[in-house]
Amino acid sequence: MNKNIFFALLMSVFVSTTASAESIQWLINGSPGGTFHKRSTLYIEALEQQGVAVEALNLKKGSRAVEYLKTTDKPAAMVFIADFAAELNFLHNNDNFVAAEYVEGLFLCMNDSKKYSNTITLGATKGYNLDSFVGYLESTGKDVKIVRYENSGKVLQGVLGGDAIAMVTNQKGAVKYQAKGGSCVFNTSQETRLGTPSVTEFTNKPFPTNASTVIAVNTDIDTLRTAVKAAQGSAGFVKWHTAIKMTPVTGLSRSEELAVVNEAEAGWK
Amino acid sequence: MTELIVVLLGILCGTAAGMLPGIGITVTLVLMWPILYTFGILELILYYMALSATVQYTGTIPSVFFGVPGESNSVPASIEGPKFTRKNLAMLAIGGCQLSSIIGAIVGAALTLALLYFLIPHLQYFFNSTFKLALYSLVLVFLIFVYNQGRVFLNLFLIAIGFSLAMPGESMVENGLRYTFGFYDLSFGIPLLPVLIGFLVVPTILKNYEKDTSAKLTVNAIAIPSRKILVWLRRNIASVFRGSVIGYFCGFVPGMGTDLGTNSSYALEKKLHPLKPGKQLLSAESANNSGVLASWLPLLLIGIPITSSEVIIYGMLTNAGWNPLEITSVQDTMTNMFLTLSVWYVIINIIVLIVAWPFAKKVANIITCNYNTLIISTLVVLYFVNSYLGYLDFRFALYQICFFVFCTFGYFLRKHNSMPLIFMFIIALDFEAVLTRVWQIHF
Repeated sequence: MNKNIFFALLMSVFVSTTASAESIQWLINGSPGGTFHKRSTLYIEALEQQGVAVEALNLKKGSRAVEYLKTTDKPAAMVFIADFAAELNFLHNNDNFVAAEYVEGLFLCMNDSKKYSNTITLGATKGYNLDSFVGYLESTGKDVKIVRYENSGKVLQGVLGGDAIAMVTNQKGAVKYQAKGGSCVFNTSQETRLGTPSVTEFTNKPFPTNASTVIAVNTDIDTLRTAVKAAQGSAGFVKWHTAIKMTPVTGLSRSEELAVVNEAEAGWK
Repeated sequence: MTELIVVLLGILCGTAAGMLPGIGITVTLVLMWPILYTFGILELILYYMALSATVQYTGTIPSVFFGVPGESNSVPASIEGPKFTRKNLAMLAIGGCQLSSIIGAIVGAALTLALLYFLIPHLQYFFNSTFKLALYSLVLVFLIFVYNQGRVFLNLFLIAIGFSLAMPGESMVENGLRYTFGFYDLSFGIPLLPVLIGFLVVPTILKNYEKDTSAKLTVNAIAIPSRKILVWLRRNIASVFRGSVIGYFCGFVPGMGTDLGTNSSYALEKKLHPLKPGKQLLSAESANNSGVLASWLPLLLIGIPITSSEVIIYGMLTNAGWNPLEITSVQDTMTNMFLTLSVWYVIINIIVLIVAWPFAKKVANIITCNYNTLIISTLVVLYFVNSYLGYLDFRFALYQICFFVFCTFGYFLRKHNSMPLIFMFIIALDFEAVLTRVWQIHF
């Protein structure tokens, strides 16, 4: 009898601290219109359609969402990305990693009419480590001036406005630049993307890639992963991935995905 | 349907804002913040459009009846309007002003679309940092030399405070936090709302509290047949068109809003027809409404606010994720957006004609009752708005501290115009980023 009571108590403690994916706080972060915000809202919509009770908490800033995640004792999840994880030193691990959404290379795009200039002004988001890109451009005999912007949308504005001759951007930025008639030199993944060759065709040096993920705490990760993977196949995600010409990660186990994400993180250190 | 509801809300708020001296567009935007916080980009723009168009109209009513300008650009109406009221012709003046406002709106919409036809294909060049720096410099020149009767040192002091307040947190061009003094909530910067309340709203309403004009107010409206109003308008139509065109082009001058257009067209008519107050009044009113659309262009096209209320709506739009070029097909989207907005602008002016006057009469009765009670209630509401948004932003304590500190400073600023401070606070981070980039590119 005592054993049963002890077991029941133990179960109640377990249930209260690691709730199932049936109810979860989703930490929205990033500006509306930006990738983080878009992904957050798409996950919330898709999970609610699956019957998951989602409490959306708009924390606006990614760093604030990470702080919240570190301290909360409630089940909570958020979208995340490898370069930001490395920047905040809040790395993906077996305890917080739920699923990868897509893996993308970074794109070096350049204004064709100015590519023969001796000095290249290179636009990029303020968080990006550009050492490998600068090293490559310098190896081709160019001087490089770096111009920093708040986000990839502003980088694109800068290049279109004539601030910068070249830019390092994500796939969404490259899609928009190409839509405006621009072209890209290479992408840092191992394959040709958006008709842009892989960097491996130009140099053997390592270049960073990025991985977009979902992380969570205080919840049953496997149950949430099933729901998140189903969400990634929802109509909203399919439409959005098609718009930015992104192929989602499929067919890998959680540990295989985590290995890919950790490798991307390592590229940003 | 959502758009229509938003527009009607803007018209109702605009009616009240125009009627209550000193409340105006900026204070209304702050008071409505908890609702506007939930709006998307188009809703925000439509609300702002309806609010400012309505204020142009209803601001005329206290000016004509009481000689008290509801908004700063109603000054010509507050000089010429009472001349009509004394002859029991207040409704002729108000009706004429409303119709000339609609003509101003149509002329403004047509000029905007014509201008956009040439501007939009070259829009991307406006995002060049050097060009943006030149525009910001122009805005700064106006902030320094035009506000507070051109008291340069006072304006520089206000600009420096605004800039300093914007510095804590993250910059737009570098990672890492600065000036947070170990206070975690400051990593996200000093919140805009208590800055607006403390430095802008409180000084504005205190100024009016001290004036307390309620004793003079009586509404004396004798109906005038519409036909008579139309005939009067037709007789003055040249002045109305002249005012519309002058008002439109003056609307582009940073920091002046529609004040410059209104006063310029008024001055011109005064010179051309010194003994005809009707021409002067109608020309100034049409200039008001056409100038509104022009002053929005720099904001909506390239994200540079040039008037005080635009600075606030700019803050709200960027919070809602607005970024003028963050779209795949800029040309199509911009053309569609401005076509939509221009059509709405004309519709709004027509709705105002039908809705605003009956509602304005009710509001006029409120002012005549107890204006100072209204001001105190406004302050209490502002405190709760600030607390509520502090709670939503997870920074309740910081919002409280900022509210009381800034309101105290605001009290001492009540005899000055604090717009240079507000302007700089809102544009500081972008201005700093633009300046840094120009340095990185050219040096």
